[in-house]
Amino acid sequence: MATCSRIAAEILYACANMVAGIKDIAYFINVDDIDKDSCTFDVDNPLLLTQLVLKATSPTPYAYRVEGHNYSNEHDTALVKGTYYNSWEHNFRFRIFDNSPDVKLWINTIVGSRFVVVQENNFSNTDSPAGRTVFEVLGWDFGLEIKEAVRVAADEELAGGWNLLAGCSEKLKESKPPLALFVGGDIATTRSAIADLLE
Amino acid sequence: MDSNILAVREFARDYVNGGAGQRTAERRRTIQNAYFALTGTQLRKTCSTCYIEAIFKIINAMEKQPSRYQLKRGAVLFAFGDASKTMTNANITDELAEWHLKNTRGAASLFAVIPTDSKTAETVEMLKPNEPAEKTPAAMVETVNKDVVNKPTNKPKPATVKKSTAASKRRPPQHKTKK
Repeated sequence: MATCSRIAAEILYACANMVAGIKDIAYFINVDDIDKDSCTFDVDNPLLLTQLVLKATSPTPYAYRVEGHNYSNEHDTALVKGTYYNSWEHNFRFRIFDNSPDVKLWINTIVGSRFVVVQENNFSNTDSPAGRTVFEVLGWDFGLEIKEAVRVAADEELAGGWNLLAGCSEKLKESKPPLALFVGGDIATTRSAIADLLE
Repeated sequence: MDSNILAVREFARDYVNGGAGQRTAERRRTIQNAYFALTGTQLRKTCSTCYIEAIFKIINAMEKQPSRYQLKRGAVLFAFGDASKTMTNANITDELAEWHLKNTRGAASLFAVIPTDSKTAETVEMLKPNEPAEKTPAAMVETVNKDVVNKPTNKPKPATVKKSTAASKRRPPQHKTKK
């Protein structure tokens, strides 16, 4: 059997405890707005995105912030084993605590969109340079799509808010696990880069 | 300057402090118009602090010295070991942008706007991979001229492709693939 990669490093136990969960704020970017020709990856690790740049088109593309509440954002990823090729499922569940016409219009729009999600993990590794585990990018290859959008008016937990699930397409899954985003060699520069994506 | 922006600067302090009768619908409309005049995009009004955030954005934008250069959204340029050279759209200046265009390889592709009278981008494009980035255009011209002078004039013409000869007919082309 022809294999395309070989194990070339050890995994040693890191004594620092991990911290579960992701932050309440996530960033959504239309997948077509990303200038992939200008984006760069770490030379040694194709899963480490070192520059996330939007196209210079008109109207100006932006990243859009989606704010949850009390750990209402969730994420999971899993390998999808195939006969010849493997792929990855990226899921991002988020909740919107509102039902205004603006919110409904936003939901109706995103249902027809494909988008990348940038999420912030609670866990930040302490290895130098610290902070490479903080930001992750979901749906880099194809973008995610909304797979569930549910509102139960009498729901006790959400009190009539929206519960949405973004994931990969039924046909095309991602070729890699979620990418790490780490710009400029430190977490402060990464945060300023993300801030620059916003409107 | 847009009259709405001037109006926002006048009532900004009162509006943010939020005294009685300060946050009127008319002022909100003025903020929306000023925001649109400044950014070209509509103000999002879905959050409770959107108008106050817009006021700060307007005031900060007015205080900042405008740059003729603009990076693509999200782009960060940095110099190894010199944090003062780290540049985003938030701290971009003409001097810093020109420094990166001269010294950072591939920087030009991260710019959304480069003024047409800027020669720095062309300088970067002309550099060859092994040449130092600090090389000036004048030095490059000199190098090119030297190459032209040293080039032998009686250099034989490159061999033209011959038509098939009898030998080539006898021997079929060899392939590198193994059987």
